[in-house]
Amino acid sequence: MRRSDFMRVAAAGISTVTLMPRGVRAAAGDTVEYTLTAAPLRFRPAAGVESKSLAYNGLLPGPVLRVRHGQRVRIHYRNRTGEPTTVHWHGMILPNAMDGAAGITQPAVPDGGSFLYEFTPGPPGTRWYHDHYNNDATPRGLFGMFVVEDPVDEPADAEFAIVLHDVPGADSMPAAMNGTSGAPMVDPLGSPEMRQMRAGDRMGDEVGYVAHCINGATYPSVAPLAVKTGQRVRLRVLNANQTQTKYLRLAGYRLRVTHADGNPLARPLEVDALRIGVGERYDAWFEVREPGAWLLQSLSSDPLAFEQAAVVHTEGLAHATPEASSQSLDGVDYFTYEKAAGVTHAPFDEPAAQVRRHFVLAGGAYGSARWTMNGKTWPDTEKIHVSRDDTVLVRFTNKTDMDHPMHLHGHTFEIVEIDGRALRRPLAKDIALVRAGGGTLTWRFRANSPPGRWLLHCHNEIHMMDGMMTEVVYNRSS
Amino acid sequence: MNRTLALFALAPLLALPLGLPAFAAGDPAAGALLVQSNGCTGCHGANFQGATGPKLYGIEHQLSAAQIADAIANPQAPMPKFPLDAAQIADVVAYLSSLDGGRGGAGPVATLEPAKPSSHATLTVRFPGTAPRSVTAQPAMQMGGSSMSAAKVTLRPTSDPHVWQGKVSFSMGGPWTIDVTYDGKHLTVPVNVAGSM
Repeated sequence: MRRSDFMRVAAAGISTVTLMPRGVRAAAGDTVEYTLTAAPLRFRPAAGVESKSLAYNGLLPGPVLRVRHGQRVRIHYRNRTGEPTTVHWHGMILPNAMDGAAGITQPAVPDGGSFLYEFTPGPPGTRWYHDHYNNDATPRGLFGMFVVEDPVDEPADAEFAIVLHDVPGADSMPAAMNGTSGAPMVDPLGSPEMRQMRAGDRMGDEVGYVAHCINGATYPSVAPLAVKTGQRVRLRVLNANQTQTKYLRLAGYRLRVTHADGNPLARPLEVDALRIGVGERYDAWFEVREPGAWLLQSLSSDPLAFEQAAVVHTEGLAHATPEASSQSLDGVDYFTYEKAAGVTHAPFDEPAAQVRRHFVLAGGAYGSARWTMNGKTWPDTEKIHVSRDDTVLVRFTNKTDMDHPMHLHGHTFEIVEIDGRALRRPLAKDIALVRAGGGTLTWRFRANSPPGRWLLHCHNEIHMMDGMMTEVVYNRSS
Repeated sequence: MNRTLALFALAPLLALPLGLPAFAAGDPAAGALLVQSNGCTGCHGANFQGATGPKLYGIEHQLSAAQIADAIANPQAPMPKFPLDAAQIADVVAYLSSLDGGRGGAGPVATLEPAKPSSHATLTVRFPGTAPRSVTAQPAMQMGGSSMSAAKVTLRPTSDPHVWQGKVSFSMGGPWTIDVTYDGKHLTVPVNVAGSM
């Protein structure tokens, strides 16, 4: 297939929601060429909302990139945004120089500049890509889904990419970085986020969002998900909101979760709703039982909650009244790491490891522009030095009043401990929420990725920019 | 999304058949909470003045309670069908019908300025009939099982003894309710303290 054909199909993927159909993918072993051009976009996601956004190839979210595992990509990146940018391939294990971390693995691509990203995408699963210059270009629109097909996956009758994102108010990101935003929490009633709040809390770090999108549109303009009775449907869901955990629910259905961050669960888990931290991905399935129309909703207490909803309908019912869920989480069985992996009741014994590091996450007082790891902010944070094949344990204790979605570049880690308890089954991820208010969580990973410098940071854009970042460096002397 | 949707959504309300069954009165305070947990103001606008969905302020002067209930139970797309039983729908109808004081304007009417506040707002309550002797307002937020309160405010009469006013503040964003107490009676005012700046 010619590149232009491929790009057109890939670009169409997000506007029609359906992922690229079978038969238009390049054959296995081929090299797939993409051109991604980042440029400003006047984004109008809802009536009366116009945002100075950024977009890849004029699309927000960017095109769904999709390859078969084993295929190589050559991605010609062109920066026309007016500011420095890079592209990070989130969840991929790839040569360090291709990781896209500005100032760490490559110089930022200047406005007007280009960069060739060339690698073999993997491991298989639902990955994504986004800007990684240390500013707010990701929440302004530079993100998209990247699917690496797994040859052992069970077949789906229909498959949809679901990208959740919200449009930040013009001055909201800088205000949140200064810790004085005053923007409210909009987590759903009954959510752990709401329960964490205390009387007298002052809201300085929340970003105020002016529109709430699924696949770049707001209800009822979101492209519907057309399904057929009897079909087994796979949703690949990405939370591309850079500051908020999302809850996603399909009215009238339970969802069977098979993958977390693209990695297969040891045992699928059926839930009423997904809980999706910043940057997380979940693959969720349902079987269409009968003709009908239902809302796929991101739950929220925001007055504009219903903007972030899409209609799922069977044939001929595109304009039928869809069934909705309450916006409340009270009594709702939602996905948690503990439910997916199971927890033991014995105290956690740290397994053997060559490298251990404990980070206390702190900071973020009202009016503060500091989010810290062991009291320090990037670039003064303690680094993790490893040598090849080390087993590495990284434990976090979160002393702040917000969850932190901690992300490691270039590796898949396993969560082995949450709040002092060991997990029964492996839970492989590349990003994990560390619970607010004293929560702990431990990762274990093998240092068997290509050598180099791999960032480790909070994926909340505000916290990362305010210093909550370190790196894993392959240079430990034994 | 545009204004024509609002017209489509309202059309079936005006074309309902007559002879609907008798309708049980609901509890407006319970309805206020349901309105919040189902996100109604997102489409129908702050203070139900209309947005994507039609204006519902004063709807009880256009439709009977049974007709309003039917429009909720059997909605026209893009309005979704909410998971509400008949008693809950009756509560929502009672709440919506009380927004402007209800039929005959007999009940108190609360308004907030700004209608979609972020940290504080001026609460104005108009009391038809007998002017009250004292009025307080207690903002609170339900957080799944528990609730949090902000400062209780004593409202003051304006030059019109039927109109009382006070400044309420919200310590954080999210779905709040203001419990207005006047001469031993209560009025529940929901307010979503909202995000955009």
